[in-house]
Amino acid sequence: MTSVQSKVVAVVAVLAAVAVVVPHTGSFVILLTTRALAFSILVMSVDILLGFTGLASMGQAAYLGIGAYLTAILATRYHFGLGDDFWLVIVLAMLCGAVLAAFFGLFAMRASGVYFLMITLALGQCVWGLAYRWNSLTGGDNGINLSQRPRFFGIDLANEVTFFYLVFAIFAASLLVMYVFVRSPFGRSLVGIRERELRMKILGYNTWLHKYIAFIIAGAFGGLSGVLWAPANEAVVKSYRSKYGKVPSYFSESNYTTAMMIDDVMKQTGGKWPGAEAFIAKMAALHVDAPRGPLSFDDMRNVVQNVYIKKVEKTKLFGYDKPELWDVVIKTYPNVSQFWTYGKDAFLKQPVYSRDFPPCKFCE
Amino acid sequence: MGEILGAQFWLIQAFNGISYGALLFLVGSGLSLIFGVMRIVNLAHGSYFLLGGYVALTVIWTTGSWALAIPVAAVSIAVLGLVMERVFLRPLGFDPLRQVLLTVGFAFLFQQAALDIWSGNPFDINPPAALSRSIAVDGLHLPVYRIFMIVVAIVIGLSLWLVMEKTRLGATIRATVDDAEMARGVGINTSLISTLIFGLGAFLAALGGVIGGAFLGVYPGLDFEMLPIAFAVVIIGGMGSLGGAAIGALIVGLADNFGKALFPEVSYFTLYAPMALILAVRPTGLFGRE
Repeated sequence: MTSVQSKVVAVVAVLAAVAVVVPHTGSFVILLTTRALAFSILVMSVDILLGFTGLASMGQAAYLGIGAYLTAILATRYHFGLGDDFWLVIVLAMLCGAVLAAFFGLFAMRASGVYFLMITLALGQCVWGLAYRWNSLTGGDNGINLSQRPRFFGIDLANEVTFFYLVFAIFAASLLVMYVFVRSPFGRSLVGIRERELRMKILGYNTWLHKYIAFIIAGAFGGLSGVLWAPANEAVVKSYRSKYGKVPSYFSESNYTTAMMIDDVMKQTGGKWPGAEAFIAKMAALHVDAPRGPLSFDDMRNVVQNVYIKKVEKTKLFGYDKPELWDVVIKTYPNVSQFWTYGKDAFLKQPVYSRDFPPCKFCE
Repeated sequence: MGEILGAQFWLIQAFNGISYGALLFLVGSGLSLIFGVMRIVNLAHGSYFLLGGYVALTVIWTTGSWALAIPVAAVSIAVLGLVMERVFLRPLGFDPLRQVLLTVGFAFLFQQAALDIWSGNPFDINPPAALSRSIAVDGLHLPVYRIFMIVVAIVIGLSLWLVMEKTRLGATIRATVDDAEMARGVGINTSLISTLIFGLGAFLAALGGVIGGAFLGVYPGLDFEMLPIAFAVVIIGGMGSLGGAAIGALIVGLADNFGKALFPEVSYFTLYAPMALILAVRPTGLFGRE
């Protein structure tokens, strides 16, 4: 066997082992591997640019962001891509990634070396800035929560193992496509550009166009990775119900979240008890992505979290087939602190709530 | 809207933008010099800003002196920068990608170290009472602290300019920016200049961190918030140009302030989109040397 062949065999063997072993591990490892596989698609797209073409792009995460936000916004605003139309979301996200890369590439390809690096950083920051600030569309730094996973050609993905296999299959397909791509004559021309662009130009290659196409293809795979990234982490309701036969209540969620926080702190300390003071300080500094949404503490160690206005509705939720009575969120107030909108100082200056405060506006 | 967008609004926002620009000048000028002299894209520059703020906090907590915190923080971070340059960056030679990966690695290390040492709680650096007041000028209430920031930036900018333009040291630095190989050829110790500049850049960033800590706060994540903004300053102004950094800082400070005040939802976009455009049209920045 040549060295290339043995490498291919080794990769296939490792992937086969992952596919066989991972589903038998716990839910944590399955979800972690699923995320790692989704992320690997983005990494491979960076490799097309950096490894094969020699373009150091700092903004590749923007395409993952586009794919993920597209998936989340379509699902939560337009109820699109929640059922069998999920494959359309994949196509759309790859298209969006490619279109964005085609647009960004027009700017980025004008520069080279360090300047290419910085222009891609700036372009990536444009996307980040929009995602971070455009609260009404993206939810700002709270993000968007997906309450259910979609279906893929009739397969329900709510089960974490099923979802893992879908992501695994798409990862393997992407790996194959990108492998064929970089070994094609076109891929070889990219390596030539990496090694010596001037010589490629003299040989008659339109190096700008080749780099531009590589940039677009990398963007499309970046978008794809985002679609798989978005719904990887919401399975609490379903797994709880399948285990205990009822949906998680207020009490189960808060105890679960407390356990999550203790777990997070113990992970930070490597399993060692850091002493009460340090434990409290570490816990107060946590930012937890709890089932109820993002959660942190203010400097008085009071919780800062989303407040949901809900109504009870008979509807299909969390990927179940039959309509049931659920608490459906109709409005979210993100990151509400104990001081509401007054601010800490103004709030604490006020007297304690009583019969005379706040004063009655309509009493004589 | 008429009331909000009156003359007062524009004056106050312009003042805020200029004072923020003053702070950005401190961060951006160091980054610009480092790039100009060494062609290093230093992604740990935001970390110097953050660490400067944290070291200042420690000094304030132990000694209670704000005035002492400024030099101690700036000098200790400058030493950190010197060590980073000598021990880690120097052996890499000129390879932009490795430099970028090394400095971004350091940025993550510093981030975690700061979290371990100073916890994740946000802090404020409280300046002396004399600076915390505000004065009324023609009906406008201007915080003294922001005026102080502008004064500091002007003093630093002028002294840097004097050193760069009027002294022998400055002439050797400019020669190194323009053509390092030629500078070496005529006997300038460019290696020493590079180390000095890296230390100076870290010094200025940390100084910015202490001074900015009073109104931005000091909290985890500030490093990676400041970094791209500092890059915007450098890119708009042009790399390796002090005057460019000053103008870039003013433009970014004003754009950021008016962006946040007028179009809050797209405010970062209004900052980074012009940066990308300028890079595409003039990669060396508006005032950079070819």
